[in-house]
Amino acid sequence: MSETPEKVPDIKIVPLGAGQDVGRSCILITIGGKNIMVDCGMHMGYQDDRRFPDFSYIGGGGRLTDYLDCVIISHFHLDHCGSLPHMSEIVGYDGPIYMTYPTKAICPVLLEDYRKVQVDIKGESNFFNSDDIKNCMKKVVGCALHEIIQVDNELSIRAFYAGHVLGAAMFEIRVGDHSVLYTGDYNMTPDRHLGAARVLPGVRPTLLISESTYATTIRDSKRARERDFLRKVHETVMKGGKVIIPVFALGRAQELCILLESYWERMALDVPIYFSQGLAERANQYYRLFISWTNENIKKTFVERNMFEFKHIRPMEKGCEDMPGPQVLFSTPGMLHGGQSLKVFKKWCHDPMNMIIMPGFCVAGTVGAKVVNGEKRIEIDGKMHDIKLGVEYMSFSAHADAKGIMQLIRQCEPQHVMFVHGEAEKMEFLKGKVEKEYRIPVHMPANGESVSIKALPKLDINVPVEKIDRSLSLDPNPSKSECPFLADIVYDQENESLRIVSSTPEEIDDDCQPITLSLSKILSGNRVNWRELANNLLIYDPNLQMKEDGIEMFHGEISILANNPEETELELVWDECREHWFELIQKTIQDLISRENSPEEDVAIPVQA
Amino acid sequence: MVRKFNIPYLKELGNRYYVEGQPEIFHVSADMLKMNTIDVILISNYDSFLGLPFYTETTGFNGKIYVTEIAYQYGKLLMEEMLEFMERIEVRQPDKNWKKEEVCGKFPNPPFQNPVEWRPFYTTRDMHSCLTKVITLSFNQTIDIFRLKVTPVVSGHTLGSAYWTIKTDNETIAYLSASNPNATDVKKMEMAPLRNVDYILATSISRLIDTTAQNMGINLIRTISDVLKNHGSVLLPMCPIGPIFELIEAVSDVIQSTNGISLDTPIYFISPVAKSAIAMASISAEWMSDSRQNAVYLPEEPYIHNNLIRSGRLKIYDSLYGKFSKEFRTPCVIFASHASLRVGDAAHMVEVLGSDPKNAVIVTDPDLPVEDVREPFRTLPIKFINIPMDFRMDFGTMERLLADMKPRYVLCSSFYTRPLVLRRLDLQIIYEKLWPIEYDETVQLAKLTKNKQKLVKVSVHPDVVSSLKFKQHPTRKVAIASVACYLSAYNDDFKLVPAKANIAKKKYGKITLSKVLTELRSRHLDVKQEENTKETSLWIQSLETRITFNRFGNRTKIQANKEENRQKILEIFKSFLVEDDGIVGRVDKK
Repeated sequence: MSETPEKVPDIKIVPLGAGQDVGRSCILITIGGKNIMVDCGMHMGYQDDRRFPDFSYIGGGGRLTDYLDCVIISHFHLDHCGSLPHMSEIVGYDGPIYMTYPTKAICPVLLEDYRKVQVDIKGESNFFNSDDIKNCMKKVVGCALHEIIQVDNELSIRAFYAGHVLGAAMFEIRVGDHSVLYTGDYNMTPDRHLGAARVLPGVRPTLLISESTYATTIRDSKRARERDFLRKVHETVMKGGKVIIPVFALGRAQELCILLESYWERMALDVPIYFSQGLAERANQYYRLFISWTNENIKKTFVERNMFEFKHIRPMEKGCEDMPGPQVLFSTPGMLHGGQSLKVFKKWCHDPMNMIIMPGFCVAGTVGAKVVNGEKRIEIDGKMHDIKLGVEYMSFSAHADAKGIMQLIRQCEPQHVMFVHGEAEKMEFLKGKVEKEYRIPVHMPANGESVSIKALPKLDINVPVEKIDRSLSLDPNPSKSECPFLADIVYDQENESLRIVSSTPEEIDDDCQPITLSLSKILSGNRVNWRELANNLLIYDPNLQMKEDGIEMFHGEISILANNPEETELELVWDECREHWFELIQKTIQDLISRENSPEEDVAIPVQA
Repeated sequence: MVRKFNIPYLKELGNRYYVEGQPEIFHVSADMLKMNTIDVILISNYDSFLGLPFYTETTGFNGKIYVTEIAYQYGKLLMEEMLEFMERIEVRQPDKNWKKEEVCGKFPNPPFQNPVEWRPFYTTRDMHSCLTKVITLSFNQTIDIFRLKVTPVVSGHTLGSAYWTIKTDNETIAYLSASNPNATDVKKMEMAPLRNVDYILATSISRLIDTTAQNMGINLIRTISDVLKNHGSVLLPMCPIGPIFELIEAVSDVIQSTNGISLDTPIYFISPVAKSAIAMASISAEWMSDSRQNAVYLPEEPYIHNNLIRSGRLKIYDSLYGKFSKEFRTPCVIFASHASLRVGDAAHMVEVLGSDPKNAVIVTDPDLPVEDVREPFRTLPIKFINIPMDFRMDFGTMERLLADMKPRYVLCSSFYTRPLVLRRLDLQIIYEKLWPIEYDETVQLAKLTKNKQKLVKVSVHPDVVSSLKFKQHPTRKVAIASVACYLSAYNDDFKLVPAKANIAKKKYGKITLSKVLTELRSRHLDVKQEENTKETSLWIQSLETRITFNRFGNRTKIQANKEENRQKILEIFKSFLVEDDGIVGRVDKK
């Protein structure tokens, strides 16, 4: 170790997964001496230990609980939470794990479902068991959106709505003045059941870590995609074919169900639609309980009609995939990497009448990915299959596209951007775009590669309120965004404190005394009406004073005096520091004394005692 | 007797006079509060939400209202319910003659306040307009309001109820509204934010004396059980939100598990918002206690209401007309509002059940005296039982809380600094540094603590930080950096940012005639000297400029009508004066 201790970087990031890769999201963040793990995903493309992040990297192989201050899970997808029980129960971590309430509810269901596929169907041993999932979930703390959760005295986290799936959240991780905003997966456009991602105004992270699944795509309009989807499903079932839509039980499935349900209703179709048994109903129950996390429309109408109670969509019956005639089947899991969807796919893939619609991203190496790539012969469980059915890939997956990612960066003005959860070439493209358009440095580390970010120096200082008022009064502009500020910052070497003092010397050296430099100009016109002038100037200085010989503003820093007995000439005198006010005051005076037919009132000059 | 007034809408009932007509509301006058000067309203719980439009509509109020999300949802339901009740009342009184002192002052039951100040309820339109001004929050979501950091903290009183901390750059104030450290159904009150704050504004103390809400709950359940066992029916006039949720479950348990009560005794819940209230309760688990919350992880609803509805044991109606009148059977338990028995279905239900002395009305609202609630129904044989359910903290709990949290000052209404009951010195707020506030009194907090210097936290832009050049003070152990930059106060966000133009720094030096003349002549400027005793005056014909300076040599004026000429002379002065660097000109006495 050659690193010198005093050069510890402000923020250090190491992706253990999702570095130039989609799947197995797991990122280590070190900020202000605190270590945080965000997401703890599983890679669907591997069947061996490579599916888990390399936890032995963390803290040099010591106990995770000693090293990590907290773990945060952004949403319930397995590529973001799949390794959590492995990490907490098998590797061993007893600290807090944060996730939103819906994630906390749904995450264990998906973990259990996945465990079953691995252990019961694939016959794996050496995998976490049901008790591990339960014990792991006991360590989870639920979060509400926007709630500032103080992990300890210095470290705080805050969740924002991410829109990707029910309960998906972005997390702001803050220590002192520096913060990291980790997006997880997010969607900047609202859909049928979820709202768009939303970060509160004023969130200005030092570093934004954004997913970049669709870094190069600008998706065509949502409506066009939906029409396309409905047309293809409709055509296939009219010809008597079967449609399989591999989905994850929660998320996209609900949106597509709402879409098909209303289409079936509208077109009066009676072709059966099935949804994988078991999980489906429970999934919808979760959506019913967490209505407040869906979009405004669903929230508004849920008392009268719950969108997640379907008429046309039925739970799958045993053996229904072998029945003759058309049908639509939503089946899990979404990447055809095992379970029921793969089983049905094997049965249907040989018939050109049938169709498969892949509505989401498939991790490289899965059967789903091969199907999407248009492979005509695919080996499944050691047996070759000819793929003759129609294949449609439609990106319904709710990720932000290039436009959405750019929009988020524009909104929160980070000092640095980091891309994860995407493919390297696509990231490279967007990196160029961000660096060119926003001049923000972009990082895209590979797995295991560490990035150190030097945050800009930031300093807060306590200023006496009189000093602030003085500065504000020097700027004539109502927006008060450019108030001249002069002060001495004193660093006390004895108690190492910074303070601001007003620069009034205690004792004055006769040869070096403070000089008042003032400027003056003669303005002429009609005879001045002092009272009217004072009234017009009152909005600039409510404390102005009428004197025997004129008007005094800002404690004498600006004065207006008669320059001749007729009072048709005025002398405007201002101190150098009031130069900004000169134009405005001059205009106010000129407007008054050069006004035509100004009423010749004989107004006595009011005298201020 | 009432006929003597010759006002047809005045009715007499048991030697009490009543006005038949639209109910009117007495609230603090919005004029007195000068609503147009108020920027922000913080709402602590849904009970405190109901009156909002009286203050925000047509009052000049132009600010924002902050409330937790769930308190907003429930508060809105309460508004809708009340508006529905008002709409159902068709009678209107044609005039306001009864409000004259010579009329209402002669009632055997004269009004407590001047009825001229009573106002009709607000309209649906007012409600909607008011709701557009609301911004909803999560607990512990800190918002920045004109540089005040305002945070709602779990207060444990009702679903979504909050107390507030308000932080300035210098001090922290906690507004301790209705709170309950012993909550069972809602999230547990969070104490930590109260510790060592500068001021606690305390309010909303329980009216229960020598008993607890828990005891009252046990008492209530036993009473309901007794009435049912005796084949009577129970009417519970209460708010359709909050404690009712838990109570429905408890009543259902009583029916199911008590010998002598028929298993098919129905529970009725009648309110225009009953359906919405039950539906909302099923989706707000994250605002509830851990035990309720854990249900959703199964996934089950936090309350068993929907199971009770499905099994036909709980029946929900939006009014007692229509379906309810056909299905209604006794004995039964009826939940209905309004608790005051002046509007709403509950009042009508008293009439329906009133003739049977086996039946009972149980008044649970701690703020409504049972005699008043009962008054119009005094002649009916039905029993009225008072079991006040008050979930606010009591004086003893408050005293312990304050002793533990140690705020510098506690402020409260002077009402709370006098014993609630004669000779019960424990029934008041007790704290070493207690400041009672009288009605309409303004208290300036800073004066209370004699806080000397006010400091404002300003963030310094990195470029300003890096431009700071510290100079060592010649004699003292301090380094001084003189800073000349812009202060940006845009949006009340105070920042020091680099200046775009030159900022006039203070100058030091001494102006002498010889110095000025030397400088001017070296630039080939012809100078005419005009001297008097007070000051020196120089006229420069070529620049049409007059320079005057005093005999101390520390004050000078450059008079010229042309900007460029003024600048030219100014530059000359700058050339022999020193700009302030924080050290120049200072002489230490030592």
